[in-house]
Amino acid sequence: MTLKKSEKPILTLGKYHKLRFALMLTMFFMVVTGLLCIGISVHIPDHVVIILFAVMIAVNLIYHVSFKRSRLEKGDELSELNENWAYRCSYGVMLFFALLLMIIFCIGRISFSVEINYMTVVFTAGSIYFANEFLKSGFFLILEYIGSKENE
Amino acid sequence: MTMAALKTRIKELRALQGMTQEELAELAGVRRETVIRLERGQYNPSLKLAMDIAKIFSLSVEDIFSYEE
Repeated sequence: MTLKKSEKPILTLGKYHKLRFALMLTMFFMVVTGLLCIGISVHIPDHVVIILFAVMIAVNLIYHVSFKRSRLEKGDELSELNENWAYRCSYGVMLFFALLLMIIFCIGRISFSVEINYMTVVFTAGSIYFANEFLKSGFFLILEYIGSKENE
Repeated sequence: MTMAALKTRIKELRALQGMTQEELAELAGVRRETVIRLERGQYNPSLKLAMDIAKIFSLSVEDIFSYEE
C-alpha cells in the first residue's frame, strides 16, 4: 500500500541537507578519482575505486529511498536566508580556491600536462559542480547549527 | 554606525501561555529553529512573520518586538 503524500513522514531540512552533503561529497570524490585516472593518468588501485563506487551507490540509494518514503519539510524564511548565505559562502570558497591555485601556479611557475579529451572536460566540470554542491549543503548545515541548539 | 539589537518578548509570552517552541512554530508556520533564533534576537523576522506572531499572542507588533540602540 502506498502512502498519500500528506501521510508520509516529514524529512527535515537538516536531515535532507545532511544526506545531500554526503551524496555530493561521495560524488565529488568519485568524479575526482575518475579525473585523476583519465586526465592526469595517476594510478589509483582498483580496490579504492571499487570501494568508492560501492559507497556512492549506497549513499545514492539512501538519499533516493529517503525522498520516496517521506515528504520534505517546508522551508521558512530563515531557511531561505540560510540557503542564500550558504550559496554565497560556497561560491566564495570556490572563487578563493581558484584564485589561490592561480597565484600558486603563477608564482611557482608550476605546470603539468593534461591529456585533454571530452571525458576530462566532463569530469572537471563534474568535480567543480559537485564540490560547489557539497559546500552549499555543508554551509547550510553549519548556519543551521549555529545558535539553534537550545532547550525549551 | 552601530546596528540596533532586536529584543523580543516571545519567550516570556510563550511561557505565560504555557506554549512550547514547537507549538508556536506550528501556529506561525515556521520551523522550531526560527523560533529559537527569534527568541534569542539573532534574526530579524519579516513583517509578515512579526504580524503573525503578534496575532497569535493577540498583541501588537511593537508589544513583542523592539530595537535597542
